[in-house]
Amino acid sequence: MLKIIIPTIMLMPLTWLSKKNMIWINTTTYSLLISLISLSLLNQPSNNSLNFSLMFFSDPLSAPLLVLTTWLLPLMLMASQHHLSKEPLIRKKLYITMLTMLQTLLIMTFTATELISFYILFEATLVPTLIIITRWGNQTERLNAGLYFLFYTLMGSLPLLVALISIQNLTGSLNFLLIQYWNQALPDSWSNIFLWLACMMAFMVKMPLYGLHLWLPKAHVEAPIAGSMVLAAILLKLGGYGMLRITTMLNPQTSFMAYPFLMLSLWGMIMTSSICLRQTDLKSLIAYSSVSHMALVIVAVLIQTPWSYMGATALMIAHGLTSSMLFCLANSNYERTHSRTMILARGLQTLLPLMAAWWLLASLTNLALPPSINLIGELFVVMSSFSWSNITIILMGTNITITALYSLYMLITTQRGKYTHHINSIKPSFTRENALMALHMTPLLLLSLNPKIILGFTY
Amino acid sequence: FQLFIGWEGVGIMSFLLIGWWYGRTDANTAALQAILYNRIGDIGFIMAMAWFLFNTNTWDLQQIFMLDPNLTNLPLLGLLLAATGKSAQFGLHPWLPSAMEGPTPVSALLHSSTMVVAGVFLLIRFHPLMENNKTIQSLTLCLGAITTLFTAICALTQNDIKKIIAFSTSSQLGLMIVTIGINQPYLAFLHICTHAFFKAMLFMCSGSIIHSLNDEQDIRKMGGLFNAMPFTTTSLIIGSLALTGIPFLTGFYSKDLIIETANTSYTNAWALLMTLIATSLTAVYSTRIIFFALLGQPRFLPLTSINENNPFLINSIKRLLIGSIFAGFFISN
Repeated sequence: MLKIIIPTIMLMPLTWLSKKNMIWINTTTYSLLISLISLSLLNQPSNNSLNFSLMFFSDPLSAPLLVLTTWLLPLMLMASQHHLSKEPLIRKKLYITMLTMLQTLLIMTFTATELISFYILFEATLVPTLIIITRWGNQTERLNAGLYFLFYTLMGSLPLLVALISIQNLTGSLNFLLIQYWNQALPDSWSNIFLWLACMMAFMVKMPLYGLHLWLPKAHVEAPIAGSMVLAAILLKLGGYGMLRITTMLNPQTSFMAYPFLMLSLWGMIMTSSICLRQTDLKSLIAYSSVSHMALVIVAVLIQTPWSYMGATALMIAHGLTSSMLFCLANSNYERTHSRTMILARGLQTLLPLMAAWWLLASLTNLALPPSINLIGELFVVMSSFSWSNITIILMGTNITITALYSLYMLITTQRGKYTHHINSIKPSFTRENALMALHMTPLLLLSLNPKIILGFTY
Repeated sequence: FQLFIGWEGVGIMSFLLIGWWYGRTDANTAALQAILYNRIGDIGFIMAMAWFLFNTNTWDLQQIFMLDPNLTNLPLLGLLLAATGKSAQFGLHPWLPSAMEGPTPVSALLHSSTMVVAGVFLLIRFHPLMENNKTIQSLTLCLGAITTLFTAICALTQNDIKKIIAFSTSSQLGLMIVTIGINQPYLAFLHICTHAFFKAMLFMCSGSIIHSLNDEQDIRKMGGLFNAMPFTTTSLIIGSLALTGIPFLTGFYSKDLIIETANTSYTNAWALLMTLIATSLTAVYSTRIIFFALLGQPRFLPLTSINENNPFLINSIKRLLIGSIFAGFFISN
């Protein structure tokens, strides 16, 4: 694990010591190399975890998320090149340093063994993200967005600290490996109910759950492109990952405690999908679509069946890649028209056909077209929720329809129809942008061929 | 699962092809409408898949049929919903006429012969399960009967040549669903094959007419093409005759058998009556097309470039013509 963490930390001196015209090249290349190292972790010989040290380990659940994280850093760097091109050199280096710091913390979070270290790193990832959103965001609302983001997450996770400390007192250790063996059923009492709530609320806010999701559209819309990418792709998955880890300890409370959250998620996913249909702001649409997909993951985790865990992990990876790609596409629109309103940049298929092809692929995977991994994740979640209760299929089905509708609505509004008269002076697509989209899409398509890797530990 | 991949795939292809002329707003909304109705049908498909997974532990058709589960109401309802969405049956039908925004060859392929029969095909594949479930059979029968009558009546009032043919497709699909409802999946499959020939040909002929009249699709503005476009006229008349099931053309072999079986089977009399009325209406609207488009005096602008010289067009219509005449005979023997 140090093989990945130390190079990532070393990326920071790399940026500070590089020459002015080499910073992007150096950092992007080296981060790509680091992601190649992390691919080797995917080779999991058994269902037990691979242990590297007392503090770090990786198992079939965290390995795909780790690879996603390391894969995204070069993509984030490529995406940020344009909007930082006019900044002074020191600020560019500062930005890259922030991203690298975030990356290091994320890698450590996904491979943490102890729950307390997981918690500390979980909170620590908030800091670089906050700095990225509030310093390099584009509108004045970014300060408000940062505030919402910080305080929502903190409010949710402080109870988690208390809960973890109390569990440490009770059972003597918070090590993942040991918990599997020490696990005793929690007796049904008021304090245990609060314990359950304390453990879960942090992740519910992070996911986000429908009632607590207000920070997400703000943060996504105001963040610069790399911030949006990493938020949508990874930080939301931190919540899912945490939930998947911690629910192993929380039985049997989950069987009745989960009901309100399940109802909120099921209803919330339809609500947020419907909001997407009426959005005028492109990034806001993608943000709400993230909430909708994550609600599916929450449902899957709370049902706690093997199939649903498989669906949750597959959906997390698939959604990470798809959302990140959609944000990159939205950013390419933003850089040209400097506005996020969808109808200002319509009819793009006539002018930028290759970009239209990427839009099409991204929208198709967003609506979970077979045989992409998005579909596999969604299908598994739908199947398991059908077994939990037959009626949920109606809600799930409605969600699938509305998802298809807004994805294609987004496609049609930006690509098709007559182009506007003021659009004939936009710059054509850069190679960098096309490479970015291709690098997003290729893992997605390749994983459709062999989804075993991302199906998590219940495969 | 593989069926689902293909199922969704044709849905998306339909979206892309209907919206081929993407500069047109109407085309884009029609494409989105197609996806909406298809997706609603897909919910039914997913529900059926979920039920099969949890009650028969498999998505494999052979295994499902061997296990022969009882109480198959829920999954078969799901499959029926899927077929309704994909094949434009009564509840989910508006997308098919709107789909005529696409280019004519697209309509000829997707929306007359191959894609829309995917729904019927699905029901045919599951017929061993449907044989045992009388409720679902009556439901399909009534659904098909309502569809075929409703869309046949709609076809009578349309003025756009492609829309008339679209409604006629919908009506024939209803007929196929009726055939499944009376427990004759093999006949339904035969009708799929034969219908493909003459419907595709009808679409291609209408495409030829539209193109030579400079994108004129309204039949009230056509006329007198009998002498101006002899080859198209011939194929149009033969196609319409085959559609109505004139003896010894293709349509006869499947359509007549369906009507005979429906008459002699112990089935819902009301559905039967609706089917018979709808079948007679096919003759009516086909004649309407012939009357307005071919006979009478020309009602289009005087300076037109009517020509049938394009060899690609003529060759394809020629092949479909031969198919329309002889395919029924060859397939049934």
